Amino acid sequence: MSDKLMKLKVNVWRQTNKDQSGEMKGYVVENVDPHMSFLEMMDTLNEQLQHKGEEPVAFDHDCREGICGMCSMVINGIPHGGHKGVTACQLHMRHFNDGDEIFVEPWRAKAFPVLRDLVVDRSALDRIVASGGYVSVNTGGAPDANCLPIPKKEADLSMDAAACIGCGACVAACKNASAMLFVAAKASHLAHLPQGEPERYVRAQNMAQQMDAEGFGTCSNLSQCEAVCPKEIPVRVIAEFNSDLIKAQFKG
Amino acid sequence: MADAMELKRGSTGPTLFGSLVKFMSSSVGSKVVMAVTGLGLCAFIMGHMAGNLLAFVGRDAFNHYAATLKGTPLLLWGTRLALLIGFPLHIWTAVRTVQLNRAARPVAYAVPSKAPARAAAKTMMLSGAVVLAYFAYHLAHFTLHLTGPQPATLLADGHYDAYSMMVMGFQQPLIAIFYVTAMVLLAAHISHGIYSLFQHLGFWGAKWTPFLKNVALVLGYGLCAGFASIPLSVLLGLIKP
Ligand code: FES
Repeated sequence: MSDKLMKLKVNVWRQTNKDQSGEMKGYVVENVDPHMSFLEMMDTLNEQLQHKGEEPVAFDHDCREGICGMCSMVINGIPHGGHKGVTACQLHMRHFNDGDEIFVEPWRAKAFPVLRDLVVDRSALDRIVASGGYVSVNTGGAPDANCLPIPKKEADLSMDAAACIGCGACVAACKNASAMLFVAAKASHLAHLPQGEPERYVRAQNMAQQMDAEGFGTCSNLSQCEAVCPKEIPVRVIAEFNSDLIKAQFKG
Repeated sequence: MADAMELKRGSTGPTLFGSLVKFMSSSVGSKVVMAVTGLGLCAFIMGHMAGNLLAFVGRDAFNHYAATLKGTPLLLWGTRLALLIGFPLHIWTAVRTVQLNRAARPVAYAVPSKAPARAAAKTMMLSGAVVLAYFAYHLAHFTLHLTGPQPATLLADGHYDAYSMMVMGFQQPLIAIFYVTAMVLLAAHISHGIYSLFQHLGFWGAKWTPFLKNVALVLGYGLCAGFASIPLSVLLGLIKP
């Protein structure tokens, strides 16, 4: 790997606000260090734009260490750039070559309206969580750690799903813009724990209902979500969620 | 307070039928309908192929099978009824989900998606549509006797000479090609469908799911080979008039 600075052609979606239509616009970005992250490359682009007196590109980001789920860019046709288990902020420019042309687009879904440039409104995901992705607890002293025995296998299954950072890449990647991987992950990480078990079926029903109301597509088991998920959440959780919804029909 | 008590007794909920209809029209529920009907259609197709392979045994075996089918109203109409219910439901949910999916992404990506997925899985609607078109033609040819070459006379027992009808049909290269094409697409459809339907029905296993994916492939393309072997054998002269 060389440390030579790169020059790239970066095409970015530009859109001033929710109500206006946008377009792809090309920029030449110079002095891109291969050690930079993708977001640092975007920062470099923005510095260049500001120097020229142009509006910088708006994009979401926060932790820049792959844990918050804020960064959300479809890079060359694949959310987060398509490296296994990597968010856009953790994607390094060493994966690109000098002279490359890169296309950067926002998440595309009816439920994720573009607010500006690459920033989309993902509050639909929050509303789904609010509709059921919690456990009802009566207040009182916090229980001691480990006083609830949980089999290792169940804890692992729960943790697989709890890794979800809610970035929405699953929706962005899905041919149908379905949110099933997200919703099922949020249901699954609670369903495997004794605290979440009692509300398992009501939770599944409420979350599924909210998911439909937000206008996400349906699941066709293409597994594109699993392929792009930066936390590598398995489509197993979707089968579990389906199973819970079917069982819910026979309960009550 | 009174409301809360009511809810606790669960006496204010919708009726069983009401909640079932509500579930079936939800996105997950409609996929359950698609999965169940798909499973039924697949079972039908397997039985159909087993019957067809009797063509290799000979004219009498094949015609006897056809006559037995026609002579057993319970079997014939049971199957037809299942198809009459299963097919429209399968198609209706397909159309509905495609509508929902199109609406879910109003603005397309500038760069076509690179998120990996099997081609057969991405083209379920297309393969399904071609198989449906073929199915309609197939009914017109072999069940309703409206098109295609038909034997001039009935058999002595009053039945259609199904064997001759089949051989005469497949001696026409165009009919054979349409048939084989539809079977290849049916194979693609089933090769994703079988795996997908278990996922929709909530069935998952660390060992079972990879196995089911293979079953789907083997079954899909095995059915295709079984069905397609007949017109090809007719064209090659292995099955004689
Ligand atoms: S910015 Fe936090 S995950 Fe990328």
